[in-house]
Amino acid sequence: MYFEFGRSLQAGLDCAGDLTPEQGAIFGWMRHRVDETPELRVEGSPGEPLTILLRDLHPRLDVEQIEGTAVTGFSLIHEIPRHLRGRILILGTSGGPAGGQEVALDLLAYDLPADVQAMSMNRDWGASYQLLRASALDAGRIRTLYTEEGPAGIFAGWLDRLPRLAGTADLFLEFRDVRAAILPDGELVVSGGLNLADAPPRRMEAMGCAVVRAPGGASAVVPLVAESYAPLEGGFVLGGIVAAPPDSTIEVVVQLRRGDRAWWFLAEVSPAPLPDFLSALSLPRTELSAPDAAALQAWLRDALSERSRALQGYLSGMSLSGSPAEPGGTALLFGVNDEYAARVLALLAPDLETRFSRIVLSGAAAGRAAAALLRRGAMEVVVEGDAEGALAVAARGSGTVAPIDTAALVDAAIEGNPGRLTANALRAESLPWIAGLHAVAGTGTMEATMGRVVAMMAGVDASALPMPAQRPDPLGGLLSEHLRGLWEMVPVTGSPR
Amino acid sequence: MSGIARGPGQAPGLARAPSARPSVCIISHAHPDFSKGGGETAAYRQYQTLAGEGWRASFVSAIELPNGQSPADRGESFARYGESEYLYAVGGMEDDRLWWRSAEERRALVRLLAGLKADVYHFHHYWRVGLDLVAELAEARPDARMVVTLHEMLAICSHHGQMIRTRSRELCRKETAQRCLTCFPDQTLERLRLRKALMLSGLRHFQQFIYPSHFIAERYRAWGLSPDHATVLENYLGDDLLAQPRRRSDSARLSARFAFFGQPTEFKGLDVLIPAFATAVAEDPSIGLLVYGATEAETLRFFPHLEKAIEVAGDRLTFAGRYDAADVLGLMTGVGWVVMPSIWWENSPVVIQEARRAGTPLIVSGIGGMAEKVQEGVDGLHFRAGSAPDLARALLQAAEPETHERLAGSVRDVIGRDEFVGALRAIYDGEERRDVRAA
Repeated sequence: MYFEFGRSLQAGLDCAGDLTPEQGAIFGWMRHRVDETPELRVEGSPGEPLTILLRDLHPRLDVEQIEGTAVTGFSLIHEIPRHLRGRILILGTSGGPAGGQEVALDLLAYDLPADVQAMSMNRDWGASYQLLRASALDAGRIRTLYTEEGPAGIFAGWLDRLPRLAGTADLFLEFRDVRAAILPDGELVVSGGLNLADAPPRRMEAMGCAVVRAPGGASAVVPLVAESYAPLEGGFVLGGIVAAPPDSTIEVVVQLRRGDRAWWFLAEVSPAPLPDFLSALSLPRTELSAPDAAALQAWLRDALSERSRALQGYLSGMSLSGSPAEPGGTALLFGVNDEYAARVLALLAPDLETRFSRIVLSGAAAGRAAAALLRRGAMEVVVEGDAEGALAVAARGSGTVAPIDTAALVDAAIEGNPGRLTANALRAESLPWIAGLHAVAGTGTMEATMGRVVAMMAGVDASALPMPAQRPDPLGGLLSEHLRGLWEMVPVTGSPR
Repeated sequence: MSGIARGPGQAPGLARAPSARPSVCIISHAHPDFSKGGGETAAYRQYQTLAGEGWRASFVSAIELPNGQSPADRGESFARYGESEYLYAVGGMEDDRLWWRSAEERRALVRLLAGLKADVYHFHHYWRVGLDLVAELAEARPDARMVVTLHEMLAICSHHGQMIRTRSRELCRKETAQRCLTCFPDQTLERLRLRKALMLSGLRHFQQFIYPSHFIAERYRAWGLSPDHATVLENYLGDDLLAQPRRRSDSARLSARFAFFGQPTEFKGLDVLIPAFATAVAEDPSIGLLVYGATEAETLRFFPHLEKAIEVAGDRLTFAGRYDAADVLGLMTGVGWVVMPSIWWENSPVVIQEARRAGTPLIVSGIGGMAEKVQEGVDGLHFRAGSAPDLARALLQAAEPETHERLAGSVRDVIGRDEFVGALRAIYDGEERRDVRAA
C-alpha cells in the first residue's frame, strides 16, 4: 500500500502482522532524499514506543528511484506488549535539509496484508535473506524462525523456492564447478567459479547462514561461525563453521553479491574428506586471473593459518602413544583389500591367535580373511565394511588394540616375526582420537589416516609420509603445507621398527 | 639294477623293511604319467627309489583333467592311482594354483595326507599344491617333518620364476619389490610385497629345504628364506639311467659333433646356437650340429629369423625331431658335446645331468645352474649367455680333439642311489648336512 507524504518522502507498506502474540513484523520501503537516513519506530499509542527488536534496512531495486531520492527497504520486528490496542508506525528521516520530519501511520486503520510468511515468500530475496541472517544472529530474541509455521518460521516457503545445490554441480546458476562440502567437525565451504562472460570487474561478496536439520526433526537456522570469504572477481569461496549434532543435514543459505548482480541459493553440503574440502577452498577447476589468484592465495593462507591455530591445542593434546599389546587384546586390521593379504593372514593365523583374542577386519578382502579365521574358531572375528566401522568396533572393546596396516602385516610376514604386530597398541579408549584426527587432518580415506598413525608409531617421521597430490601452484603448496603442519602437531609415539 | 616297477599302481621295486626308516609321503604338483617336467620327474624318481629301497612311501600328485573332471569315478576330488599313489584334482584351487578356493576340497586332501600317517611329508612344489594346504597339514600333523624341494623360483619371481626382466629380457640378479614393479608396472609395490609375504609365510611352514643347486639355494637365501635348514642335494636321475654303462668318448671321432637337447622355446637359446653354429661352420666345415627335440619347421615357427643361418649351416645342421627320454643317454653318447645355450638361469637342468651320466662334456651358458653344474675348463666350456659369437668361439675350441679328450675325461658322474638315499635319510632325521653332491 502506497503512502505519499510530500515530494521528499513516500512509503510502501507490504505487510504488517504478528509473528507471535508477542512479536510483530512490518515490511515496507521508504523513498527519501538521497542525503537523508530513514528513521523508523513503532508505537502502541501516541507516545508509547514499542521495543524494536530488529530494524533491518536494505536496498529495494524493485521500487522506482526518482532522481535525487533513494529507496530503502525495511524489515521491522517489534514487541507486542499485552493489552496493546493500537500499532502506529512512525516514519521519518534524519540528516539532509528536511531531516527530522516524521509522519505517523495507524497501521490498524488500513487493510494491510497481515500474513508475514506469505509476504516473506514474495519479497525481494535480498530482503528475505537479510532478515533471515539477522534472525539467525539473534534467534533468542527474534521469533521469525519460531512461528507456528514450523521449521524455518516465516522463511520456510521462501527457502523452498530457492535454487538448490546438492553437494556439487558442474554448472549451477551462473557458476561452474560449484561445491558445498563439510567436515565432521562442522567446517564447511561453498565455492564455485563465475561462468559469466564479459562480467564487469567487481569483487564477489559472499555470506551465508546454515539450516541445520538434526536427526529426529529438530531444525534451526544458525549463523556461520568464523565466516569468511575470498574477495574474488571470477568466483566465490565462502567458509565457516556450523556446530551441529552428528548426522545432521546441513544446508547453507548463500547470498552472493557482485556489483548490481546478486544470487541466492540453498546449498546442501556433503560430508567430505579433508583433501576434498581443501580442494574446494582453492577452486581447482576455475581459471583464475592473476589478481584473483593472488587474492585467493592471500585469503587461503589466512584461512588455513587460522585453521591450524584453532586445531593446535586439539591435535597436540591427542593421546596416541603406542605400547606393546596386552595378551588377549584386539588386532585391528584395516585395509585388507588384497586377496594376498587375506592369505597372509590365514597363514599367520596360529600366531595371531596366541597374541589376540579378537580381530577386527575391514577392507575388500576382509570377508575372505575372516572366513579362514572363523573356520579355525580360535578367536573372535569381526568384519566391518570400512575402516571407520572397524575403528568404532575396536574402540568398543577393552584393553589394548593393535592397529595393523598391510605394510606392517607384510613386514612381519617377510621377517617371519609376527610378534612385531603387537609392538604398538593403543588403549581402546584412545581410538576415538584417530577418528578425530581423521576428521580434521585426514589426508584421504580413514585407511590412509590409520596407516599414517601406524607408520608414525613405528617411528616414521610425519614429514616423510606422502600427502595427497595437490594442484601444482602456490595454492596447492599452501594446502600441502597445511596438511603437513597439522600432522606435525600430533604427538604420535611408539616402538620404532 | 633295482627292479623298479613301471606302471601306475604297482608297488615299485624290491621291498626292504628296516623298521627305523621313516615313512614318506611325496607330494608333487604333477605326475610324470601326465607331464614330463623336471620337478615331477625328480619327485617320482625319488618315490620309486625310496619304495625300491623298501621304505614305506606314497606319492600324491596333482592332476588337471580336461574340463575340470575329477580323477575319481564318483567325482571325489582325489583318487587312488595304484597301491600307494594318489591323484588329486586342482579345480578347487584359485586360478594361480597357489591357494585353495574350496576349503572343503583342501580339507579333504589334508585328511587324505594326514591319514597316510607319514613321518615325513616331502613336497616337490607348492604350485598346484597350495600354501594353505601346507600350513593346514603342518598343523594337522605337528609330529611329522615337512620338507620341500625347491626346483624353481616361482616364489621369488612373478615372471614364471625365471628371473628374467619382462621388458628387456635381461637376466635379473636380485629380487626387490621396486625392481619387480618395473617388470610388472600394472602391479603395486604393496601387492608385490604381499606376494613375497605370502610366499615366505607359506614356505616357513616347512622345516627343511632341499635345493638341487647352490645357485637356487643362494637365490632363496638372498630372497629371505633362512639357510639354516637348507641342503643342496642333486636330483636323482633314476635307477634306469644309473644302470646304463658309462662309456669313454672317442675324441678323435666325436669332438666336432655337437647336439642340442630341448624345445625351441624362448629361453632355451636355440636362436643363439644356430647362428653361432653357422658362424663356426664357415670356419670349420667339419663340425656338425644335431638338434634333438625340434624339427626345422617348429624352429622356424618360433624363430623365423633363423632361416638364413639354417641355410648357411646347410647339411652340417640336422634337425632330429622328438626323442624318447629313455634313449637320451644313447643319443648323448653318440655326440662329442651337448650344448646348453639357455638365456635364462636354468636351476638344475636334467640335460646336464644326463650328459654327465653319458660322460659327454658340455658347452653351456656361463650363468646360473649351468655354470655351477659344468665347470669351465674341467668338464666343459662356458660362453657368454646370449652371445652367438662367443658360442661360436667355444664351438671351434671344443672341436679340437685334444680339448675334447681333456674335458671328457673329467666329466663327473651324477649322484648315485646310495648317496642320494643316505642324504635324504639324514635330512628326514633332522641331521645337519648342508651340501650333498651339489654338482
